[in-house]
Amino acid sequence: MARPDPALWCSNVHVRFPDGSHPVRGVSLRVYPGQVFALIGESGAGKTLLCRALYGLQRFIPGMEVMGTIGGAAEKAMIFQDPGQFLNPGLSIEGHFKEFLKLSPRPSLTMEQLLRYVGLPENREFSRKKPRLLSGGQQQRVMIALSLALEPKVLFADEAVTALDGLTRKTVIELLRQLCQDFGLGIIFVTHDLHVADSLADWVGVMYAGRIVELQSAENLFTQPLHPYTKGLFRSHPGPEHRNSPLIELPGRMPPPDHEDGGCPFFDRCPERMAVCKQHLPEMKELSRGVSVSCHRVFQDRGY
Amino acid sequence: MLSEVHTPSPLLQIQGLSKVYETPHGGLQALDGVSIEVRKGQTYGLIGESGSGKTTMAKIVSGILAPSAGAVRVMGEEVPHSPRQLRRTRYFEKVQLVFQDTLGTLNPYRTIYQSLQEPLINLGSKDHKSRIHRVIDQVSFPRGKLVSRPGELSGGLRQRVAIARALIVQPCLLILDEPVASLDVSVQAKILNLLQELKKDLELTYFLISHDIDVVQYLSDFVGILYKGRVVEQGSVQRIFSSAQDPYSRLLLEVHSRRYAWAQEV
Ligand SMILES: Nc1ncnc2c1ncn2[C@@H]1O[C@H](COP(=O)(O)OP(=O)(O)O)[C@@H](O)[C@H]1O
Ligand code: SF4
Ligand SMILES: [Mg+2]
Repeated sequence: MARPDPALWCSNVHVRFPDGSHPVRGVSLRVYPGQVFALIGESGAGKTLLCRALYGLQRFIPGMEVMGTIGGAAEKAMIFQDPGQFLNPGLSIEGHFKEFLKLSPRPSLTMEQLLRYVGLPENREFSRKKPRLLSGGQQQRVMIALSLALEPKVLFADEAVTALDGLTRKTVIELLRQLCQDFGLGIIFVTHDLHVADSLADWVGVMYAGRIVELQSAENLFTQPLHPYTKGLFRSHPGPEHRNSPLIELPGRMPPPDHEDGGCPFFDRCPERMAVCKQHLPEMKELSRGVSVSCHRVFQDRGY
Repeated sequence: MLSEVHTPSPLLQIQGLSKVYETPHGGLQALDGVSIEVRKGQTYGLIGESGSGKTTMAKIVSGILAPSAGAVRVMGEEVPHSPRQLRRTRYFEKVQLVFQDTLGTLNPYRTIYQSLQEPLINLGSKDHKSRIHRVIDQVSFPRGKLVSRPGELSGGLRQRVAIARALIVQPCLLILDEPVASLDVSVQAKILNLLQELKKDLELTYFLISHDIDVVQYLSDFVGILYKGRVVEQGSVQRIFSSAQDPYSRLLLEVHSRRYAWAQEV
């Protein structure tokens, strides 16, 4: 059977600002219906700006210039880390749904159905409440339900569970996975938390200094990471394997968004660097189906 | 029983601690009969989700908040509840608190040097400059950045300042309230390693409070699980992570388990 068309794809996307900063540098990816694509990486890697570019928010962000090709479904929605900033404190839950359902051309779901779907009470007592009376997990569910009212084909979630604690976080993660299945939604999920990516993602892209440096299925990425940066993240993450030994630190810092392109941006911090890395930026190569990486060491070891 | 006779008395002893907040809707029990003992040189990690009572716990142990019932003793002495007594007994010289949100707790208008100097002025101590230099060297904070203000520093450097500020009065017990929350993995690793080194070098005892199960497992010798103001289970880190008994503890640890076996030898 042929693979369905991607719900979202992009090719060689760049984001630039007039002050010379260049925080996204040639990103290509595809998100398929019914799948979660997690973008991981540390703060400053460009994850949020890439999402904003893919969503088409640049007209609201002064000076933001986007280049490259972006395609896929037009129906997009976005959820955020802090529902408190997204929800209007003066408006009841019901009021929010009225506004959102107006935005959908032919709403096929009612507020009651949406609330039931995300596991919230459907009664008036609940829907008349103002956002601040809800817990963090409930606010996150309201935001998800509102975004579903737009009947998106692609959902962008930027650190959407970061502020939630373990048990609540798990239920929201399960809800997002359910959405993928039930609505065939493609989700692009940004997180700096490796645990969240582990429990949610089908595909993972690792971002470093504006580029995706490794892209694999979640299973492959977690069990057989290839890029030295990805491996460094795993080594410095506390876990049972580190119980009696110090964590292996990643030295140095990520280059700033206005750094000059030259060799590999990870060169200064890389324990596996070679002479060629200083001069030549490694391109992103697909080594086998669904396994892409940009690293001279990996190319050499695998005969590319 | 004989073994108990020989064990040294705990450095931190929390006995039957309860806290009820008065609210317009009646009393809200944030802590309910919590008892914990931490021996010198050990790290006790308390795991709890938001609302479990973690912050209330940190505030009571550091002497900022009075309990409704029960007692906290450090080296056998009960934690005083009035500011006057706190000053008189110099409690803050024994116990210091490190918070997570350093941007919110460090004075934004003061330089790092001034922030570090403040506890020394309060203590009436001399030699500010050499003490400040010693402590920032211990936490690997660059001397050249002493003139910066908190807003100009990265999250990792700010966290080093928070630790330095706690250490400058040479306490024996640090209360670490979410010490690495909101830091990136590679920055977090540096702070966790620093905390481990400082504990060894300065013979510190840690009372760690966090929702981050990996961090608690990494740092702690003993672990307690706080749920709705009660410690539902406690024991050695090995025991809790291999065979937790309480249903809530089991659920919490289960939710945290990994879907894939993360690469160990990379
Ligand atoms: N000053 C206060 N007045 C009333 N309730 C409070 C106050 N501080 C905390 N609480 C409540 O006490 C419970 C425990 O709070 P806290 O110690 O802050 O837990 P945590 O830090 O684990 O979130 C929560 O339900 C919280 O809402
Ligand atoms: S290209 Fe070279 S420097 Fe860059 S990650 Fe690979 S080995 Fe390291
Ligand atoms: Mg708290």
